[in-house]
Amino acid sequence: MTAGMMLPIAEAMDEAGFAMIDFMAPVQFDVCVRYLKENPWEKARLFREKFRNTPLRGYCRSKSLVGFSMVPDDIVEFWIERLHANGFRVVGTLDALFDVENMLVSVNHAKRLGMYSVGALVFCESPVHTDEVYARTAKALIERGNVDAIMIKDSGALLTPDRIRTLVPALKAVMGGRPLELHSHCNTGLAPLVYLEAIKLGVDQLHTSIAPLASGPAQPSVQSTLQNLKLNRFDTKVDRTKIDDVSAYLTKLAEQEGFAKGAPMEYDSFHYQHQMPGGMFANWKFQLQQAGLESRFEEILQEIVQIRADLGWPIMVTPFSQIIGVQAMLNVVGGERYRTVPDEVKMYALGHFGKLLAPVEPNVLDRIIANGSPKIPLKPQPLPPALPSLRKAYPGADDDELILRYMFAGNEVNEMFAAGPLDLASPRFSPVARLVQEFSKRPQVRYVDVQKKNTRLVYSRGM
Amino acid sequence: MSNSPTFTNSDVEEILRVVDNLTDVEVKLETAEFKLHVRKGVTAAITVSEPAVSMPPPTSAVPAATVGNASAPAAKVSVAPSAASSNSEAGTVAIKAPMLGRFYRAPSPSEPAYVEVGKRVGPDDTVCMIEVMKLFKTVNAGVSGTIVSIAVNDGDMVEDDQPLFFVKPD
Repeated sequence: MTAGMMLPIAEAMDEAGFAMIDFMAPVQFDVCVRYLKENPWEKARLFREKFRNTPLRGYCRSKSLVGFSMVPDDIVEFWIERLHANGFRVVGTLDALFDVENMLVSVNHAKRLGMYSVGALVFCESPVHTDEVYARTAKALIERGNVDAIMIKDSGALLTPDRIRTLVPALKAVMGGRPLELHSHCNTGLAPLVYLEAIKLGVDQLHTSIAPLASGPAQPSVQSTLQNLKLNRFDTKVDRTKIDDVSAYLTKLAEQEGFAKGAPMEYDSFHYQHQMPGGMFANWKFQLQQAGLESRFEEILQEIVQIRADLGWPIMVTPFSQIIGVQAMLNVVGGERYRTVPDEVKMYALGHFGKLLAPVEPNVLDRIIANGSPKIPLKPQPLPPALPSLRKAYPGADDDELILRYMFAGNEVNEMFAAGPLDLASPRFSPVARLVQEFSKRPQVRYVDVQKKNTRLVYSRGM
Repeated sequence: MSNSPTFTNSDVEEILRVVDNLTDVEVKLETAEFKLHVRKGVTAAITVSEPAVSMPPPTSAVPAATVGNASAPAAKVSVAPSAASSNSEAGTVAIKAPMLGRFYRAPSPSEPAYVEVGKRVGPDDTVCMIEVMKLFKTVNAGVSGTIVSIAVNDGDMVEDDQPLFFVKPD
């Protein structure tokens, strides 16, 4: 959503009584810079002023920003520092390998700056992702990073009411009274039930979305969550009337812009096998179709299951979902497993993304090492600091620009700056006003004369 | 909030759909209840200011993956004729694609190509990258010699085993 689209509901969002607002993760920076041509820092500062009562939250995934590559520690710290300087007060840190060393770089820096730091544990259903592993990681993050809270981050929508009944007590037992947050997605229809069960078990904070931007592959809606909590005699500080205002606006906006509205999804057993995130599943199917491989889709999904077992059960979440998916495709299409090994697969297997939770099958590891690029060192090396050379490369740039320069290609940042300051015009809801606005965005449209019954609109450019 | 009794939001969608499907024409449409007259032309003004966000990509275009420079493997790409003919060049060996994907001659758009024609390479020298669905495979020469031709354009899709470079071995 553009800043102009967000602005009309900022006040209601701020007054609704939320504990915090998940404002932007690196992926939203990606959307801002590359698609909306909005300066994400300018946007953050603008909304920081609007959200007077509610802290803004950002994220740090492992030691990465955008894309799959790891970044040096000085860049991770620089990222946290820029989040802080631009008004973010909460930062969630996750690592899909549960590598606490990776997480501590951003956790420690956030704490040094006085931010509220949340250790996020990505949920996965596999033989190695036991309650014990979750509890051990939470304990390490509390003892070594002094995180303020722990979050269960069920990116893959895999949690069930059964599993939450053992997972929450295991975590609570090591958390010494710190708050436990839950974040899930509705891909299998179970999340609303998981949320209710979690609250009964003592979870302190639920991540929700405001319908119509809820359900489907998103979070459960605030509206139905509030209703379910009330019926089960749980109270919240959330003001339902503010939520209804925001919801009405979003519904109208979705209708006007032709955006899909979140609808409940049905339970799907198959989801627990391939565990592919909702967004990736559709994308992936499309890509395989384009490659003329749609007839082998099932075979590739089966291979994904096998590869996860070979590689020590990596979680199907960025970047591992893509890494595993591509290796599965190469294994199936090439007719021989691990004959072709992308660089990222070898890097994963050798621990360049972090310490693995379980070892790679020895004979698979041999093939990956033999057939992967010999350029990849057998032992992960710490990355040299990048900030000094970045400063040298862009002597006139301020720190906000510098981190964007690091994250995005030069022309992408240039185009974003060329687009000028944020466009704060609110969306036009009158159909006629909107038509004019839309025509004006299309320079090739020279002249339009449109008439329905007794209303006529004539639009002419460059007269 | 809308107080327009005649034009509705679905009319707006319909009109924009018609307008967006036109190029360089003038169209007049008239029914009992509805009249539309559009002139749309390629003028000096066609720049990049088309709304890029919510527009679906044209279905017939390159298999654009959803995110930026991410690319998907193309539909069956036949071996380029130039590559096939230079294959018969006496005394050269081909460096072939280890997997299907997009061929990149440089580590990033802002950096120089790994190799040019005339460059001497050793077996462990990187000559290019192949990208498939955002993952990369570094390709080494695998042979000592001199690059005599480059069979594929930067950014093109290649098939598994397709010749990429021809090398005159030492």
